[in-house]
Amino acid sequence: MTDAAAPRKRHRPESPFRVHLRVVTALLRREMATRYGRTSGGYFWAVAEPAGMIGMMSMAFAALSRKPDLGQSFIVFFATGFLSFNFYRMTAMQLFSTVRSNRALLNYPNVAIYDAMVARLLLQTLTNCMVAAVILGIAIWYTEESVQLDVAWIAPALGAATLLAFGVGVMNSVLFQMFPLYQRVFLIVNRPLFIISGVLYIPEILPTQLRELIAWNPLVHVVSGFRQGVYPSYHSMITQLEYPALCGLVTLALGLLLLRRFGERLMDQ
Amino acid sequence: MSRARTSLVFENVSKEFRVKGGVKTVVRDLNMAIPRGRSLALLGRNGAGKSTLLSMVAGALKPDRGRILRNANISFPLGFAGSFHKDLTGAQNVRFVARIYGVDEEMLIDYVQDFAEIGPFIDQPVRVYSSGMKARLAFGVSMGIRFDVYLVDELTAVGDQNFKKKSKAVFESKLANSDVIMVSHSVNQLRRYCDCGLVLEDGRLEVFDDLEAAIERHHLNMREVSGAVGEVVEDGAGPARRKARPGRRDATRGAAARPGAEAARAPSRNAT
Repeated sequence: MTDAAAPRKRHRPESPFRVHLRVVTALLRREMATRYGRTSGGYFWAVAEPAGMIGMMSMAFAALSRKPDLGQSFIVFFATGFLSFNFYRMTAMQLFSTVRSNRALLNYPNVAIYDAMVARLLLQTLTNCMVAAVILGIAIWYTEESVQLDVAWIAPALGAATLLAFGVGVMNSVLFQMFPLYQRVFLIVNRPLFIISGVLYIPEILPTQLRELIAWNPLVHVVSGFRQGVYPSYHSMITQLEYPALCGLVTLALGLLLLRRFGERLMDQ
Repeated sequence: MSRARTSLVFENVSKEFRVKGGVKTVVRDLNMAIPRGRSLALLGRNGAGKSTLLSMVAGALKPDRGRILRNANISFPLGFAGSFHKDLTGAQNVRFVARIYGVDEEMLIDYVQDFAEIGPFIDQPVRVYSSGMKARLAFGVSMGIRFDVYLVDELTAVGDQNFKKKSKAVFESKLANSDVIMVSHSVNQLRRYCDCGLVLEDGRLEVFDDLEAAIERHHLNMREVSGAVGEVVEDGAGPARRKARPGRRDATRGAAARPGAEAARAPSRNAT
């Protein structure tokens, strides 16, 4: 019996970056195959879940009032809100559970927890892009809303949301292990997060004081920034995408520091 | 060659666990370079931290301080099946490991399918496998990839008599070109596969160029604890592969202790 295969370079170790790249790719493909695992429909649900939410909200609000804060269509208005918000929420949620679902893989000397985090970040971001394109595309086509997509707003808004999700995700994957109580509180506080993120309204309709208060929520900037890239008539008074991006960088730096100092050790348990 | 090859370098590695009523030290300030070409038996009494040390080498556990440099292609613990995703087929799971190690996917799948004797089950999800099939699949993956150093935490045989025989033969053929770091309760097994020994005791790792000296030291440690029951059992049969090079060095003190004449500090890539 012969060896099936020998690693490409036997004696000299490969550059760590190449190993990282290979491991991330392998994890990415594994996650794609297992994410929706045994549920029939698979990736259909990635689209169906937010689409259902947007549909229900639109119907409820259409019964209450005549017109959304922007444009004519509730569907497009909520879609822009939910989808940009999900660039943060879905990615952050995926990262929170990275450690728990990949712990066994750390038995492979090649695999580090960073690899698993990067793989999840990439997969979820790709999924988010696909879901957003499908839902928003259909919503705009169906409602014939007049929009003018502006990549100069859309890309930075979604980029800032993703960066924020990565930072919060990495930081919390350590903090959740250290302080289970913090995890509970964080998840409870996060549940109604979309209410104070300007998904259902634009911050400009709020009284000044309240508006200034919710402007501290970095996601408000993400959502209003994204809408500026969709509605040509919308010029937000508060949007500063530097703020969520900065929050993302700070939490990411803190998260990586924590991970380096405590994290991987906490994962032992 | 002036720069001799090492497979592993420990740099100031410390690891402890908080346990009820105190702190359990596994290793303290371990500095050691393990050269290629030597196979190590890791000895120590129950709870000394042998498995923890092995897990640190694999990367599943991280040192509290210090770092472990891997300069060779180190295996995952032999027969490790914990990574198998139950909803993926055997082939998909094997493919994942092949990708991680950058080996040819189809070749590895063919090899494992043949070696593990699971036939068409390779395309079934692992959740329908019997535990024996899963173990054979895992062992097949370990054998199908060529590693420089195999990590073995208790070599447990799987399968029927024929399969055991085959596994043993294949594993032994691997050791012509590869090294092993082995934890085992069986002195016989250690003698068969290892040529030098490490004894872990109270956070210190003693290095013995001669396996018998290590075993002797280990027995001595066991006796020092009154009433302690010997963990390593003499199970007959003489040494199969050992080099009579007595002498011991203390690895926990000083810089890199060198069990072999050629040990050297390795370049600091692939740090953990």
